[in-house]
Amino acid sequence: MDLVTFLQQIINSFSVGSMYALIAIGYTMVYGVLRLINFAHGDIMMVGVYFAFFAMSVFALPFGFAVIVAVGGAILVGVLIDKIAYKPLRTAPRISLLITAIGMSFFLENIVNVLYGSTPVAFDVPDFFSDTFTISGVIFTPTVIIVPIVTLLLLACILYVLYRTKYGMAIRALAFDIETVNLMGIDANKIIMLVFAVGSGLAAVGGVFWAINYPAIEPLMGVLIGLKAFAAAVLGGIGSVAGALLGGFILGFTEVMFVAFMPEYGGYKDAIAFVFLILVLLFRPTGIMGINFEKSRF
Amino acid sequence: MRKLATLATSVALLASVAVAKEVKIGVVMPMSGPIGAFGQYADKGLKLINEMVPTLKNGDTIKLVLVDNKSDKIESANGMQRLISKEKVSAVIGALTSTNTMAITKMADDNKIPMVAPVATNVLVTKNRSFVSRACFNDNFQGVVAANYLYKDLGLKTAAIIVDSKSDYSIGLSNAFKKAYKKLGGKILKKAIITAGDSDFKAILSNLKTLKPEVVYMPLYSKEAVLVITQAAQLGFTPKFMGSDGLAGDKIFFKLGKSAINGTSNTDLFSADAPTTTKTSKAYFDAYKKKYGEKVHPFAALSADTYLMIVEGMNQCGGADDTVCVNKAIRGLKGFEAASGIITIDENGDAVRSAVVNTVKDGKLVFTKTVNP
Repeated sequence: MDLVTFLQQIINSFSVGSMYALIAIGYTMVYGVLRLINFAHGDIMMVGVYFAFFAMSVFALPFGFAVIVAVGGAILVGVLIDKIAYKPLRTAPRISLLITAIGMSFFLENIVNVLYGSTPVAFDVPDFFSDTFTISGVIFTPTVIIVPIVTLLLLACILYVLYRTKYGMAIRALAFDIETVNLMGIDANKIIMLVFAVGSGLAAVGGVFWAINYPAIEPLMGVLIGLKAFAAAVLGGIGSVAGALLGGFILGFTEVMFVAFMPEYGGYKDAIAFVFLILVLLFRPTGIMGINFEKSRF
Repeated sequence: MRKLATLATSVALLASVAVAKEVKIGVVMPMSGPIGAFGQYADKGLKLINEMVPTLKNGDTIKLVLVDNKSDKIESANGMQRLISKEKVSAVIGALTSTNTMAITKMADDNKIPMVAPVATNVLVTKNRSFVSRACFNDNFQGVVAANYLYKDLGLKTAAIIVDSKSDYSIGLSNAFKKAYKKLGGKILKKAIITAGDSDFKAILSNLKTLKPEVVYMPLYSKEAVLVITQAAQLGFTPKFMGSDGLAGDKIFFKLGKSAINGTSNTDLFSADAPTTTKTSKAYFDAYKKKYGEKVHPFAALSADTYLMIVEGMNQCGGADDTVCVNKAIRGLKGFEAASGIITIDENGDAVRSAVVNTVKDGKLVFTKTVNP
């Protein structure tokens, strides 16, 4: 493979990897705080995308506003899900939370199915995103530049919040010991709500990027992406935000390179994420940036 | 004695009043799910032809019983089961895609219910299934049509293939194309595999771009096809894209494709722009345009064909009850004037009929040529 194509594939990997990373961060934060794998997370992403679609098709809002609606809508849905489905189960065994999360996932998918049908719908992307430009033979689209940069910026913001603000300290304390935090006079539920809000907002941004790149949306689009992002989060070390980013990029990179070098085996592409998951759980369950929850480095 | 005679006469009279009964034709279609749009077109076509031909020659009214298979083959099997055991249908139309159709052909055979598939083109649909026929040609023919058009008409001698591993339709067609194209002397540079539901094809396309094929043959459904073509355009990879009859089934192909799809061709069962061949076609096309305000869609026309074929079979047998006779009549149709053209069914249950090649110009599918068998 010549250098130009190789670079092209690297660019592709960054693009795919950042999207996985954005969604993986949401998974990892919720797990860190609640020890809950929020299986509805991929579907929150999908709901965010449909909010954007709704804003553009019914209210004819320009794209920028539609993105804001998407993020706002996803945050609302994420917070509501926590309030309705997860909060009553704070002290319940973890299996109940898991089942509820899966139930929520089905609920979101089918609500959107009822409202919009399950046939793929065309997502209206401004032409700006399809314009390509070439630098020494390698072809770029605006999203390929925008997505990784936005991802890194958002990550930087999150790390800043986590380590330099009081709310961030509260979140890290919650990950450490949820009951003691309540004793310290911090309203744990409000902080948890904040975590859900941040995670869902990021998922919505990831979803919008996904819809820009692949403009055919459908109610089940979040399922596979969510599962793979979860695998990426585990790979990077679940509970660690930087780990989620790392896991996302590794997964994106491997998927793209695998298909790039062996397109005849393209049908096995989706298995890669789960092979990683199995390997990680077998050999290093805490993931690459393994979290030792005793020391609770977020 | 007289009492018995009166009784017998009155029963006979009652029976004759009840003779104009209802014949049920089951329909298994994807009305929702990833290929829901395909089924919706077929349903439109069937509703219209049912309005135009609501009864058999003997006066029985025909009722269409629709089951949504949600684009899934297990649901297809469940739906078929329901139609046969609960609704007691006399014939079945379905299920549009080859994979879903093949899930129900055995039930048709086992229960001796004649089944006609409108657009399922995989060779295995009718193989060893004596009760299953189809209104369309099979993939062996479609693959040959594509190979001939690309190699002989356009002189393109190198090709890459993109196959959807989840779809029997895609696999069957790509094999048929590969065989035919190689026989003509063309070279297959690479066969790449994707799965339906995938969205990102840039890795595969970047790889194919380095091989510089003149043609990319992609027997895919609308959503994957349009994503492949638009992403290829973004990568600056613009070979001749050639698809098949599943390509433009969903409007999303045109909505998302915008200008990138111009120049893409496909083999198809039928084109509303092709010169109409029979009186029935003209009547049907006009009625379709009048009712729905748009040109006839191939899936609608082919579904109407299956309806007419079944009705003809039932008419020849004096009713729907003798399903073995009806099936034999359907299988024996030769030169039958259907809604989309003239159909002859061969000994396998496959239709011998012309294919068309269409090309996308200015975002619309335009008829290019007819290919006769």
